[in-house]
Amino acid sequence: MRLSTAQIFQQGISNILNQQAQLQKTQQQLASGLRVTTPADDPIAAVQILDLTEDLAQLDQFDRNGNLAEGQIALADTVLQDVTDVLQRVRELTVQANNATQTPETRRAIATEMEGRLDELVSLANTRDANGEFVFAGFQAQTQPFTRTGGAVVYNGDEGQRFLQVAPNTQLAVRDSGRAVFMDIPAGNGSFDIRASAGNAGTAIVDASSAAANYQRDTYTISFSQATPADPVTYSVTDSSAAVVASGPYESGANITFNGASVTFEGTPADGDSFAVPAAPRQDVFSSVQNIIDSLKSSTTGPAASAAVNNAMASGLGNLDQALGRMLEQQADLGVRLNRIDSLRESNDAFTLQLQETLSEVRDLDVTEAISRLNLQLVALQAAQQSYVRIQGLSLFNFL
Amino acid sequence: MADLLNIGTSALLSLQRALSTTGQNIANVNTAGYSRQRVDFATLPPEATGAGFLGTGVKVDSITRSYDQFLAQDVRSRSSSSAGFSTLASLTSRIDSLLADPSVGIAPGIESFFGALQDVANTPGSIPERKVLLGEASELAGRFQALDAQLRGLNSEVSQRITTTVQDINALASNIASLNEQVVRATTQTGGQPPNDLLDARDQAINRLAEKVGVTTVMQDDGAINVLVGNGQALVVGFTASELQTFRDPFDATRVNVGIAGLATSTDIGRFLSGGELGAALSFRGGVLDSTRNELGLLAAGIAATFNAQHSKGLDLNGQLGGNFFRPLEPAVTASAGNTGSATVSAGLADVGALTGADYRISFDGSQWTLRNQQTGASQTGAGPAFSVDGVDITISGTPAAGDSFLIQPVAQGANLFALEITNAAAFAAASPVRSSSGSANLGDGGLSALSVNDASGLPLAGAITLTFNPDALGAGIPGYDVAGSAGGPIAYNPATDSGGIAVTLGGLSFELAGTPAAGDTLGIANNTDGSGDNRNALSLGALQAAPILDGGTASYQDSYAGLVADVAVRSRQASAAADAEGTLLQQAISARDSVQGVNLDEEAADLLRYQQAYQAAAQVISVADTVFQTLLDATRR
Repeated sequence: MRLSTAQIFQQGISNILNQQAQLQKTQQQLASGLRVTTPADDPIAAVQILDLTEDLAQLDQFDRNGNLAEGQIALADTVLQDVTDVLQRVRELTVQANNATQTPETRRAIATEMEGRLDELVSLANTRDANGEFVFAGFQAQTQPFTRTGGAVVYNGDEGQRFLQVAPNTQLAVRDSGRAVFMDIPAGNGSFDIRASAGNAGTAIVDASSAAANYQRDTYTISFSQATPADPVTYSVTDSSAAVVASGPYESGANITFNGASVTFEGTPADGDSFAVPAAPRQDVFSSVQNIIDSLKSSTTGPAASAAVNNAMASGLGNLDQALGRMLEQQADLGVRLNRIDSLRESNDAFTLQLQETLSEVRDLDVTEAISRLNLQLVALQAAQQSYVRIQGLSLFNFL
Repeated sequence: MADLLNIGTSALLSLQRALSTTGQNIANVNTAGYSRQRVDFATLPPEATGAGFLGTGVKVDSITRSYDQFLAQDVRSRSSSSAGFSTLASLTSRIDSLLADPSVGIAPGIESFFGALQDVANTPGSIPERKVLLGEASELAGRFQALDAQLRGLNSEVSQRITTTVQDINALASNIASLNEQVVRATTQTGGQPPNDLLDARDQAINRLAEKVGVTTVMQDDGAINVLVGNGQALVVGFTASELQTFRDPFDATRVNVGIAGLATSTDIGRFLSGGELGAALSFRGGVLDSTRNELGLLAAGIAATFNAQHSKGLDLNGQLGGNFFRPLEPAVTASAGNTGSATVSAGLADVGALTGADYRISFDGSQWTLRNQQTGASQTGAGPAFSVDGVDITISGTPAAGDSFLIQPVAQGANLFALEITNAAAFAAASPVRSSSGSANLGDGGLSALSVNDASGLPLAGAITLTFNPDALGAGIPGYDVAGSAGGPIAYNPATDSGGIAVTLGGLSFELAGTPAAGDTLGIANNTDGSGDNRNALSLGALQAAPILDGGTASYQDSYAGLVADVAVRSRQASAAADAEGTLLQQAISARDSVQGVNLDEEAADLLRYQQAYQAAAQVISVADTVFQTLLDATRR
C-alpha cells in the first residue's frame, strides 16, 4: 500500500501516544495500588467493592458494638457478683439468727447489720453506668429504679430489655430490667410458699417442702387440731374453696402430701395452729431481706416465739436461696452472652479477614504483574520511539 | 525546425507546470485535508502530412487531485461516530468518577450515617451521639445535594456545549455554502477544470461539520454538495445554508433544545440528530444525565420514605412520636412556558415503592388529557381531573386550553431537595412508643415480647391495654386473653399448644405471646413514658441498612446505589470502548484515504528528479533545434 508521509508520521506518533497512555495507566495503578481506579474500569468489581466496603464498615461497627456490649454486660456481672456476696452474707446472718442460742437482743443486733446490707443491696440495684444511666431501670434509664417507700422497696422502672446489634443478624441483650433481676423472684421453694399464722402457739416448724410435677396451683391451708391435750394431733389441708384435700394424724418429721405438694413439719403444733400454703407469689429480694429483719426485730422469748422465728428464718432462707439462684442464673446468662460476644467477634474477625481478602483481590493491584507489565510497556515504548526516529531519518531528499 | 522548437518549448512549459505541481505537493505535505495533485500530460494535436501524422509536442491536459469519493465518505462518517463516542465517553466518565469518589459518592455517606445510628442505638439517651447522628444525616443529605449539584452543573455545561456546537455548525454550514458557490464558479470559469484546492477546503469543512453532527451529503450535477442532518433536514442546499438554532426548553429554563431557525414554531429536532459532538451531547443528556439524576432522586426519595416510615413509629427523647426524619419527597410539576389556559396540575406521592425513575408529560388536546411516560412512551388518556401513575397521584384544576402541557418529574428533584427535617437531637425517635409489662401478681410464666408498632396512628395510647388470661375467654374451655383498653379482644391463646409463641396483631400493634399463664395473670401494654434508655426503634432503623426495601423489595439502600454506579460504569465503559473502536476505525479510514490522497515526499522527490531530467532533455531538444538551424544558416551563408 502507498503511504503518505503525513501518515507515516501520524501513525508513528499515535502508536507512541497509545503506548504512553497505557504506561500512564499502569503507573497510576502502581502509584495508587488499585486495579480499579474508576467504576468504568470494571463495573462488576466496582459494585463488589461498594458492597464489600459497606460490609466491612458494618462489621467494624458490630465489633465496636460488641466491645460496648461486653463492657455493659461485664458491669452488670460485677454488680450481680456483689449482690450475690451481700446475699451470702445475709444468708449467713440468717442461719446465725436461727440458732437456738440467740436471744432477742442478739437477733436485733443481727437485724441491724442486715439493715446495712439491705441498704447496700438497694444501692447496688441503683447502679449507674458511665453515661449516668441506671443499669437496672429498663427503658427508663434516667429514673432511679429502686426507691424506699416506708419499709418497702418500690421498682419505678419497666420491663424493658436493651439489645445491641453485635452481628449482621444478631441482637444481644446487654441490659436486663431490675424487675427481671431483683423483683420477679418466686418465693418459697419456687412452687409454693409456707407461711406460719401469726397466732401459732405450738412449736411446729417447717422442715422441708417440695413440689412434684403434678402440683396443682392453689392457696391451701394446713391446720392442726387436737381436741384435748391427750388426743393425737391431726392435720387437715383445705384448698381455697375450703374443701379438704388431705387429712390425717400428725407426726413430726413425716410428709404431709396433697395435690403434688409435700411438706414436712418438726415440733409439736398446738390446736388451732395453721400454715398458709399459697402458690409461690413473686417476691422481690428486698422484701425477702426486709421480712427476715422484721421478724428478727420482733422476736421475743418463749418456745412459740422461737418457733415463729425459726419458721420465719426457714422461709427467709428459702427466699434467699431463690434470690441467690436467680443471681446465679442471671450471671450464667451474662456469661453465656459474653461467650457469645467472643465467638461472634471471632467470627466477625474471620469474616472481616475474608472480606478484606476478597476486597483486595477485587480492588488491589497484582503488583508483580503490574511491574512486569510496566517493563514490557517501557520496552515497547522505547522500541516505538527508536524505530520512529530511524524511519523518520529515511528520505530520498537526503541523497539529492 | 520550428516544429522541433515548438515541441521543445511545449515540453519545457509542461514540465515547468509539473515541477511546480510537485513543489506544491511538497509544500503542502503537512496541510490538513490536502490532496496530492497530479499533472495529466497529453500530446498536442498531430500535424497531418503526406507521410503520416507528425507529433507537435505535449500539453498539460489537467491538474487533478488524487481523490476517492468513497474513502472520503468513509472518513466523514467515521469522524462523526468517533467524535460522538469520544464526547459521550468523556462526559459519561465524569459522572462515573463522581459516583465512586469517596469524598462525593453516596456509599461512604450511607455507611457513616448508619454507623452513627448504631452508636445512638448503643446509648439511646445520650445527646452527643444523637448530635453526631444528625450531623451524619445532614452529611448524607449534603452528599446527595452535592452530587445532584454536580449533575446539574453538568447539565448546564451540556447546554452550553450544545449552544457553541450549534454556532460552530452554523458557521461551517455557511462556509460550505460559500465554498459550493466558489467551486461552481471556478469550474465554470475554467471550462470544467477541477478547482482542487477549493474542493479540498470544502471536503475539510464538511469533515469538520461531521465531527460536530452526523451528516449526509448529496452531490449536485453542477459540483455543489448538499448537506443534510438528522432525518433529512437540509443544512446546506447549493449556495444557501439554513441555520440550526437553540431555544429554551419550555419546561426547564436551564436546558436548551435544538431546532431549525426561521420556522414559526420551535420544533425540537434533537431526537433526530445523531453522531458528532452535538448528537453525543444530546444523547448523553437524554440517556445518561437525566436518568442518573432521576435514579439518584429515586434513591433519595426511597431512603426518605422508608426511613421516615420507621422513624414515625418511634418515640423521641421528649416523649413525642417521631415524625419525618428526612424531608419527604414532593413531585415537581412544571407548566410549559407556552401554556395559554389557566389549568394547574398538582402531583402527590401515593406509593414510594411504585415510583420509577421516569418523567411524565400530561397534555391537553382540547377535550382529553394524555399522560405519557417520557421514558417508556406508555400513555393513558382521560378527561381528568385525576390521574394516577406509578405511585404518583395527579390532580388537574382550572380551565386548560388545547395544547397546554405540564411536565411531572416525580423524583428529578429528589436528590436536590433531600434534607434533614428534624433539627433537635432529642427529636430522633430511638425508642418505641409502647412497652410491655406483666402483672406483679402473676403466677404463670406467660409473657408478651417482640412488641412492635405497625401503625402509629392510634398512638399514644389513650390508656394502658391489659390482657388477662382467662381459661374460658372464648367460651367455655376455650382459653385466651381478655383485652381491656383496646378493641380487638379476646385473643385466642391455648397454653397447651401455643406456649412456644404465637404472633398477635392488636390494633396497630403486633407482638408475640408465649409461655404458660395462670388464670387471672395479666400482661400490659402502655405508653413508653420516660423511656430514654429504649433503643428498639433505633435498632429497627439500623436494620434498614441491610433490608431489601427499595426497588419493589429487592434492593437495600446500598444495593440500589451500587446499581446506579454499575449502570453508569457500564455506560461509561461502553462509550469509551466504542470511542476506542471508532477511533481505530477512523484511523484506518484515514489511512485508506491518505494512501490515495496523501503526499509522499519520497515519491515527490522521485517526481522531481523525473521532471527535472525530462526538462533537461527538453532543453537539449531546443539546443538541437538551434544547432540544426545554425547548420542550415551556415550552409546558406556562403
